[in-house]
Amino acid sequence: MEEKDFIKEAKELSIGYFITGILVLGLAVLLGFIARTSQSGMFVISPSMFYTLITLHGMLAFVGWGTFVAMGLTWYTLVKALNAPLHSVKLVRFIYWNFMTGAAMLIIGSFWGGFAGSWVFLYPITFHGNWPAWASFFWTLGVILAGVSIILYGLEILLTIRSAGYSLWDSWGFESWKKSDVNDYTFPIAAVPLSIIGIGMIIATIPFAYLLIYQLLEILGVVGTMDALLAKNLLWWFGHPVVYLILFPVVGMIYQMVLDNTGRKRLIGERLTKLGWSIAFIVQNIVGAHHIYMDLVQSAWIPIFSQVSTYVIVLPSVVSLYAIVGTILIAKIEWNLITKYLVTTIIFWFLAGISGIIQATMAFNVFVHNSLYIVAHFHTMALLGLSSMLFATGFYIVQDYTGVDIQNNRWANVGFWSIMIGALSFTSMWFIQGMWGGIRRDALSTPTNLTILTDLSIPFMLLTVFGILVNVYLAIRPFANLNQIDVYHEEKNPSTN
Amino acid sequence: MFIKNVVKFLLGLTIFAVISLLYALFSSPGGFKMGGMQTSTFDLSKWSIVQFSLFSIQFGLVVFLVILYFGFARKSLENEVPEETHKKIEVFEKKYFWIAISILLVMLLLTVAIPLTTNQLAQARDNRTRISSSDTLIYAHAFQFGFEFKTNGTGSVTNNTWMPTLTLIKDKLYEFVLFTSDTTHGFGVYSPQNLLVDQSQIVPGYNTHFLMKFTETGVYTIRCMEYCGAGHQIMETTITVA
Ligand code: HEM
Ligand SMILES: [Cu+2]
Ligand SMILES: [Cu+2]
Repeated sequence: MEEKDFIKEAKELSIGYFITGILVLGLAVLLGFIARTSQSGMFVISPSMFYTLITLHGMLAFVGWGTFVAMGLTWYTLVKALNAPLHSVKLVRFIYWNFMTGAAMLIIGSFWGGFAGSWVFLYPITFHGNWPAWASFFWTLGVILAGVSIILYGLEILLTIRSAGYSLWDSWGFESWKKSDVNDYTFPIAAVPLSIIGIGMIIATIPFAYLLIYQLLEILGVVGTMDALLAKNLLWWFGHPVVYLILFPVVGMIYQMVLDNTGRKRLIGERLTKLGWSIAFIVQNIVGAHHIYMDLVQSAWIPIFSQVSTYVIVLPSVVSLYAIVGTILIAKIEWNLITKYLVTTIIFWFLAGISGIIQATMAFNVFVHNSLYIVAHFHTMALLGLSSMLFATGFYIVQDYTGVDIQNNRWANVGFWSIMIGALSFTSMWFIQGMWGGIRRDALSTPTNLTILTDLSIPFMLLTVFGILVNVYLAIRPFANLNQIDVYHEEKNPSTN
Repeated sequence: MFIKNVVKFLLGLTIFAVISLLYALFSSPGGFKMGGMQTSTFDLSKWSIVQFSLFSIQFGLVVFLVILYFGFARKSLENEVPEETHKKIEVFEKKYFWIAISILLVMLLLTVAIPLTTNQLAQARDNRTRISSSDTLIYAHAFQFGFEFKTNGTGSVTNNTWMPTLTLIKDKLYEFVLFTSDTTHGFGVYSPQNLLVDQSQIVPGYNTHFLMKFTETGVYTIRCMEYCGAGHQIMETTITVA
């Protein structure tokens, strides 16, 4: 079957984002590793340096890899699901270069200027650090550029859906409210989470952009200080949904890959799934306050409301897991590297979800807030869970595009198992330290009674870093010889050249 | 075209990032040095019920999923289910849609009840209404990087100047007024066994009322629970409970 030009184009765009992001991940995990060895006392750096490293590690791994690559792989998934071209390829390229400019500014601000506000740089820490104002300026501007890219990303998704002729309400899952027969549904399920994150990010990023721009003006001395509690609410209003900027596209990719692999047109339980997504559409942007339960100065209704809405947003995850697992179980699926990463994502998405529900429960949150338990939770989610799917989709497209076989490369399994064993082990140690009250973002592994686990986690982190570097190699190597790719394309499709 | 530009750019990005990292490491004031591992004790008997239940849920699930992964998922992925099963499932789906919805709704209603029963919320609501009698009221000032206290004659404390540590009485309800003079800090209370037992954030510009009853005698440690800058790791003090 001949491939449509717009699908090939979307594939190219996605690959560009993917290989950039995976390289950024390689750098980011090195920083995390150095930070942890310093905590253990093996390779000691100054506390300021420690905080700079985890600040940049968090930003590069989460935003430079997770978010950025989820955005990048969205282009392919969206086009494939809708079977329609992107609204504006130019805009998608602009989003890339604008984001990269932001990334360079983040590196300058932290490595050259010493900015170390942590990756959330909770207001007003920016103004109470031991780094110069220009470092804060570069950092803040870098994050603003990333934010602009994110808003444009949301816009591009919605525009693409509109120009493909679909109704936005249908794209947010509301079809399930109107029609009871799934065979009447027109909007492709894999694009539903993409559309929801599209609108969600526009809504979540604008208030956060206000905080960032305010902060930039404050650095320049144009405005006075802001209410710190308001700033905190603005931050987390955005801070939780931005996690969905990785999760939702990943779920879209899973749907698409499961349907492709099983040869089915619909998921099991598609109506329930769409219904779940329409609920996610409503509550996705009102859960952020579960990050600030411990702010006892806030009115009690805020944490109550937030805990309930957090439980509600678990529903789409639950029905999605049901639909995906159900669909996989009744169909035949080939067991290879790609599907192995796919199944891994499903497992750790569920597992991380459990620890998520635990910490979203106030009665538990008091024992784990800002502890290493949280760090363990999001590494389980972001590294073992979501990153696995980014690897799966990324490898799949690269293979398809370049004709280089990645899944049967003998290093591929080495990479997979190194990451699995390494990361499952070191996150477990964080879970235990966190349950004990081990503090996150702490240069010295406090309290000291569990530092043995800090030491123990080092070899496992090394193993994980190694596995990730193997994956970086696997993803980027096919592009060492660009001419060969051209030749491959000519052979595959002589008519188009 | 896009990919070709990206690949060229990646080379530059890598060089730039690596040089930046090396610059940062070599230019940082403390530099870096190789050291030995730390030594520590690991005593399970000090775990409380909360830790144990969290631990069992968490790791029970890991074991369960690993078994699922190797024993079950892989096999069923490779077996095909006959077409008629697909049909049956479709009928099943339609029939049980509303049952699934009702189960989800009931779960939802139950979740509303949970937050209402937690101590945290009781405390949060108390904040607004409760002001302790003056002999159990303690002002706690958090700053980069430490804590200091001021009381009105509680425990063995008799004057009104700021003090670096406190001595308090067991099983008495104290009201702390937490405030900060610079950035956000946290107030984490660690029991004599070094377990985190309660905490609050301290937001600039606000007084946080924090109720605490110390139920054991011994030395509690107060640690900062929010990253606050280069000295965050040394920001702690003690409260002796007699
Ligand atoms: C080999 C893999 C990785 C290693 C060794 C690693 C290591 C670390 C370490 C040591 C910390 C500091 C924890 C602390 O607060 O004490 C950290 C924090 C963090 N990591 Fe990772 N990490 C890895 C992968 C990832 C990935 C894949 C992501 C995201 C997609 C990620 C996102 C974060 C974030 C957001 C933080 C919080 C930074 C902050 O507290 O400001 N990490 N990581
Ligand atoms: Cu959240
Ligand atoms: Cu602190």
